[in-house]
Amino acid sequence: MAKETNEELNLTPFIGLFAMLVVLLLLTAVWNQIEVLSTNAANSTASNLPNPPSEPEKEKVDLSVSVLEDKVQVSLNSQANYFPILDNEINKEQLISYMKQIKNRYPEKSDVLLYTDNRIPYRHLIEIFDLLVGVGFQDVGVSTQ
Amino acid sequence: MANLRGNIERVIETPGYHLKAKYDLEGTRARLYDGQKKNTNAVLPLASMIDMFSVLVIFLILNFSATGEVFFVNKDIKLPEAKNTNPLQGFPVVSVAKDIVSLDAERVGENPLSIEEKDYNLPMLKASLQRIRSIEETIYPGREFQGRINLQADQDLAVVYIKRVMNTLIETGWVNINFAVQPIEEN
Repeated sequence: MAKETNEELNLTPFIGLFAMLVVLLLLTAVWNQIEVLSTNAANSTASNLPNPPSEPEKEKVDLSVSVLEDKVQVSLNSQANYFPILDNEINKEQLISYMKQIKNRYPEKSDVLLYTDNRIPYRHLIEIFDLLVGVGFQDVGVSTQ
Repeated sequence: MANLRGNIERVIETPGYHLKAKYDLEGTRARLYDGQKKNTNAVLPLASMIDMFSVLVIFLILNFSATGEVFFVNKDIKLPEAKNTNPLQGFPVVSVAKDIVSLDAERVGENPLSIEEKDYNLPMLKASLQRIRSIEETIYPGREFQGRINLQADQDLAVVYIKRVMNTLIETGWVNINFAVQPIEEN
């Protein structure tokens, strides 16, 4: 007669292990994944100042982006380009391709000054800020004027 | 005990199974104890419990972040989304909700319904920021003040309210401003 082989697995250590894991993970869990976009107000103020005369060989590039209620204006050396905001949404593709062109023309340029109309929603400021950082302009200064 | 022998009625008797002939204690006893003779060694099914724990552990591991700071988002604030972000660090937090301004959960100002161009005055926020700055400078004497601060604001709030707070921050030397955002995956 064959032996009875219906042996049950001892699950108690598994339960202990899982209970400890669950407690540990719950205690260390970060539920809100928040990150940041950083700006340095001191640098952005300094970027408004003229370049020091000790570096005359470098071409001076004035680049600023203004977010208005109905359009985004990109000013490069007093030459402006406009990108309309339709239905409260910014047309990002056109703006990205234009900013990439500027970045390719001036690869060393990393600072941009961002102006905003007082009435626009805060998310538009963040969208443009994010877009500029994504294109390669790491030093975005936000004007508070 | 000799005097108990013979026909003398016994005082103490051995208890039997009957109170009287018609009340049979044996039957009562059987009825009482019959239930306890059943096998009560029930087995708890643990497999489902293990399944539940496994799913819970997988879910928690997927949500686990080794670099995250504890950051309390005001319930009235919906953060804007961004892709090109940096990790959050533990600095003081200024929150700008629709109607109030708070610094580390302390109410330090209010947002008026219609703000005037020149009404950039937030005296309570200014005082609180100066207090924190002086504490930081006392703790780390000789070290240059970094002025790093986190700013969280509702995504639909007019920018003028954020500018007002930023002006106060810059005036008090808090120039490294980190805008808190909800990160989104790059496509």
